[in-house]
Parts: sequence; C-alpha cells; structure tokens
Amino acid sequence: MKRNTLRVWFQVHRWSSLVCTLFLLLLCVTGLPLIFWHEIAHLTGGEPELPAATANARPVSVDTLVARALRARPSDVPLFVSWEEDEPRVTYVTTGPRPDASNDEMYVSTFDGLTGTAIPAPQFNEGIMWVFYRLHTDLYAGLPGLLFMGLMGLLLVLAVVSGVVLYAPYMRKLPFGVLRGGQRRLAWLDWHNLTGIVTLAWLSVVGLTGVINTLEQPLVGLWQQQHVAQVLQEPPGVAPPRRPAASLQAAIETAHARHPDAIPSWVGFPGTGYSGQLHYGIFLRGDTPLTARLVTPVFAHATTGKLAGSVTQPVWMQALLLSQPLHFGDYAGLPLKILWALLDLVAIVVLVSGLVLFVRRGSRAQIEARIDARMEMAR
Amino acid sequence: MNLRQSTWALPVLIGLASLIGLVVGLVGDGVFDALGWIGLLSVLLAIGWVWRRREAVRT
Repeated sequence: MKRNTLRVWFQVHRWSSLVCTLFLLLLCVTGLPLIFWHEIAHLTGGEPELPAATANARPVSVDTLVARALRARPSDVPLFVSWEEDEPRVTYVTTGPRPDASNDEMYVSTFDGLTGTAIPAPQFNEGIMWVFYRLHTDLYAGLPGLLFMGLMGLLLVLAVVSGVVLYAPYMRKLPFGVLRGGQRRLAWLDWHNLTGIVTLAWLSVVGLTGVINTLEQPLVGLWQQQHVAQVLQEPPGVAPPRRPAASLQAAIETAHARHPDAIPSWVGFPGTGYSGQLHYGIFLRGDTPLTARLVTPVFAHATTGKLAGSVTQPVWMQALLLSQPLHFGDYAGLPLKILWALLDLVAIVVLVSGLVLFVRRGSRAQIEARIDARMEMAR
Repeated sequence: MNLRQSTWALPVLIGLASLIGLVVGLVGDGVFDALGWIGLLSVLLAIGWVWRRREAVRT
C-alpha cells in the first residue's frame, strides 16, 4: 500500500468513527437491556402465569376478544391481534385512537385465549424499557430519527471496513492479539485492534441489519404500493372502517385452511399500513426460527369477509424480516442472548478504546511518524 | 506455520465461525442453536486465550 493510500484510510477511519461513536455508545448501552426485554417483561409481570386449561376447552373467538378490548376502550379502533410465540393462549389485542396511530398511542389488552378472561399486564410503551427502546431506535424523533440512526449505522460499516484495511499493515509483523500492557497509547491500540478484529463479523451483521431495520416504515410502504395494492384492488382514497363488520375469526380460519401447515402469527386491521384500507392482513408463520420470521400474508375483506389472496414477499421484504432476529439475537434461546450481551460489551471496548486513541493522538508530527512506522512494518 | 503469526488466519477463522453461527442458529432449534452458540463463542474464547497468554508475547 502506498503511503498516501494509507493516510486516506486513516482519515476515513478517524472521521467515520468520530461522527458515529457517541451514538454507537448510546446504541450499545441502551441495546444491552433491550436484548433481555422479553425476560425483563416476564420478571416484572408482563407475562403472568395462566391457569391450567380444563380438558376439551375450546378457544374463545378472536371476535369476542376484540369486542371485549373495545368495550373497555370505546373510542379506540382495533389495530392488531397477535399471539405469544411460545404460549399461543396469550392473545394480545392492540387498539388506538386512529388506524394509523403511533406506537406511543397504542394500548394492548391481554387475554387468555382459552377462557377469554383479561390478563392484567403492563403496557409495552411505558416505563424504562420503552425509554431505552426510543433512545435505541428513533431518539424520540420518529422517522427522521430512525433514518439518522440508520446513517450512523452506515458510518459504523465504513469505520469497520477502514479499520480492517488499517489492521493489515499494522499486524503484519505482530502476533494475533498481541497485548502490551501498561498505560501507554500502544496498550489501547492493541486492545482496539484485538476487540475490533474479532467482532468484525458480528458487528457488521448487527450494524447492517440495524440499518435495514431503520428502513422498516419506507420498505413496508413500498411493499404496500408495489405488491399488496395489486392484490387488494381497493378504490383510491377510501377510508378504513372503524368497526370492521366481517368476522375476523372466520377470516383467520379461511386463511389457515389455505395454508394448513402455517400458524397465525398476527393480524393487521384495515388502515394500519399492512393490509390496505379495507382488508384484514392475516400473517402466517412457520415453526422454525427462519420460517417463523418469513411470514406469509393472506388478505380478507374486512366488510364482506371475502378472501382477496396472498402475496409472495419480494427478496427485500424477506431481508427486512430476517434483519430483525439477526439484530435482536432472539432466535436461539437465552445462551444466544447472553452471547449478544457479551459481544455488545466487547463492542463498547472497541468504541471506548477508539475514543482514547483519538484523544491521545498527539501532534501532527507524531501522527505522521506513526504512519511512517506502519509503512515500515508493512514492508 | 504459526497461526498467531499469520495476519489473517485467526481473524478469518473467527469471522467465519461467527457468520456460520449466526446463520445456523436461524435455521433450526436444538442442535442448530448449540452450533450457533459455539460459533459466536469463538470471539470470546479468542479474547480470553490471548489475554491469558499476553505475557508470552510481550515485546
């Protein structure tokens, strides 16, 4: 590598890192508790124990559960119905003031789907975990905040790539993972090189999938326009019904009959952004971690109950759906989550050591001397 | 050749183990999950290993 090329990579690495480091520290710190959101919710009563089921008990109709949720909140409209993945008896009915209500305005009623009784449970959009979530995703700034965080993620990718380029000439003559202790700048550099190079793959995957996740709203909107609209054939400018007349239970059963091997995962009501203005979107999943994420939507008219058909997901929607587990680390049990947390801590070491290296960068002459030394080492 | 002296041997091995672990964990449960854990554990094992042997290579 020529000396000037090396200098350019140094500049790329320095500036791409500098701009995003503080935000990445925020992401690492807030992401740590978010890895265990499910477990924390469980411990704090978010998923209470269910009474033992009586033999031959039949599940209560989803329509009954939705009606019960709306009776308690008469000015709300129904938004979503979903089932707990490892305990499908737990049924969530999400309502809100408008079909396009934001997360903040939503209210979740939790039911035992077997007895139809309401289960008292804390709301997902309250408390400290929700603060962490907002800080981790959109900085309380909605879509612009999400896209800004996505941009920080792209800078991370650039920092990782330039870091790898710089790693090679420096480590040419040194053994892998050399750690020369002490308080010297060199000790920080060794830790930065070691933790940076071993987390390369994980950090790239978590970073890139995080960037893709920030694009969820625009991607789903594009999918609605380009793929779903053709199947639904709705008249333009129509408003969603506040109380859809067709039985959702019947629609789910019809959808299930079409895909007997699939399991209902969640339902979007008309106007929520996933199934046009007049249709239910019934999202069916498989039972492996992979197929559980690659949901197949089936659409049914929310007034007539007539099935409108289903849509095969384009590749980029599949990429979006798979980016969620690969970012959250929630697809292989508690051990993977613990590994995710430990790797998150290693990533914090990368960021902090990088920051120390910048603070202790020294004079311009010293920086030039280090570039010379690196050229010498790479020879 | 000494693996530790090679610039890319261990980084590439650890990177591949991580990527394979990330993907295999997604494919299935049970043994697939366990393989996924092992793949990512390689990152932490590598750090632990060089930390324990740090005296040996102090220059």
